Amino acid sequence: MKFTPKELIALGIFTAVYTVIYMAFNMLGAVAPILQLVGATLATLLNGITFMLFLTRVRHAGLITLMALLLGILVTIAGHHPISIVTALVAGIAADVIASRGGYRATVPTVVAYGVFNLWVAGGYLPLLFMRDSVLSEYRRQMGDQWADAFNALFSPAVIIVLIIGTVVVGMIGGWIGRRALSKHFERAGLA
Amino acid sequence: MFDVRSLVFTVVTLDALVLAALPRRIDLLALAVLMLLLLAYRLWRQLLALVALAVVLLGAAWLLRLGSGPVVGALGIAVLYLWRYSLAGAFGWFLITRVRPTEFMAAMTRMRIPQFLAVPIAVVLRFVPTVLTEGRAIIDAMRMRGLLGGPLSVLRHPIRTAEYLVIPMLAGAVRAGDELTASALCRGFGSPGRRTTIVQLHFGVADVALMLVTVAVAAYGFGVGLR
Repeated sequence: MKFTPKELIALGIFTAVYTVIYMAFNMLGAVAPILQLVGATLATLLNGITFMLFLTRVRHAGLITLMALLLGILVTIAGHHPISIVTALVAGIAADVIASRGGYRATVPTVVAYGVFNLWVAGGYLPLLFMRDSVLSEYRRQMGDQWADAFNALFSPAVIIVLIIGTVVVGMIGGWIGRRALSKHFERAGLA
Repeated sequence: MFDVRSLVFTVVTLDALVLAALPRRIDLLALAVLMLLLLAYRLWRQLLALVALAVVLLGAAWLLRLGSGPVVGALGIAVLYLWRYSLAGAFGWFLITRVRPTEFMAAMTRMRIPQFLAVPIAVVLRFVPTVLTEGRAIIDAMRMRGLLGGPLSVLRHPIRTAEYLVIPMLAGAVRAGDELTASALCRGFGSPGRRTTIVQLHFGVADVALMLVTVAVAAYGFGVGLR
């Protein structure tokens, strides 16, 4: 893979901003699980701006994949299931392919790409679908019966699937917000 | 003091152990290791802050365990979670502030990590603290102009408030990125040929000791976890 130095530095900078926004809003989840949903949604919407601004710097295939990979590694260090790295790679490659259809500039492909890109977090949910029993017994041991039962009721498999689809939809809304912000703020200032 | 490679190994391993589903004793061991590291680097104020944090949070958790009932139980779990994430965050803060990006790059060059991974990682590590200070400055500026009300108005217009914060942050990031690119290009980044480094890395006795301690803590964690 060959990238220009400018692209690699842009990748690092936008990944840093993405991470700070993502972590800042997801910290709401430490208070209550339901706030985590609100925080994650807000972070997804706002990071649409980050992602779209990042794409204005992209000229080669593979950079979106690398961003997803970096994010996957980061959340794995922060305690997610290691499968996050794999889902991040898959989501990143898919987003890369979609965005490259429009040369990383066209509106519709980039918006869809951001929706798909957001599936990089799905690694956090997938164990709940395929390894549900072991995850639940783990929570039972760690957090107690009450918490585990509440968790089981709140995050049923159907809810998880809705969550995953919702992630893509919220992502596309975020992507659209990002495109709007791009033309409203950054192109006018000559930054895009 | 310590080599980058042993520090990264220790911090990543202990972070993962603290946050993973292992019995709680592991956090005390990790806390001890972090205190020793802070001692070795003579960071007295940070050491004091860490001890205070540990006493307050673990003390609160211990007090809550004496009580009973669902509300108290949930609160106790929340405090323990907060403690784990604070400890992991303290490790991360230590690594990011104590290790210079040039040392990171030197270590990654030595380990033959390809540039398309090494450069973004180095930039992320260099840039996260900058984004945080910038964010604080933007919040202050917005408050001074009366654009950022109290918590109530933040709750009423979450998107608008966040936009006020995110857009200036990104604009600043774009500018900083252009400067960083120019600076990197001036230093010959992107030129053909093998990269060499000025920074000398020493892997000494202290590093071996640190890694042995980390491995011992990890082995203890998994030994307990298996039973």
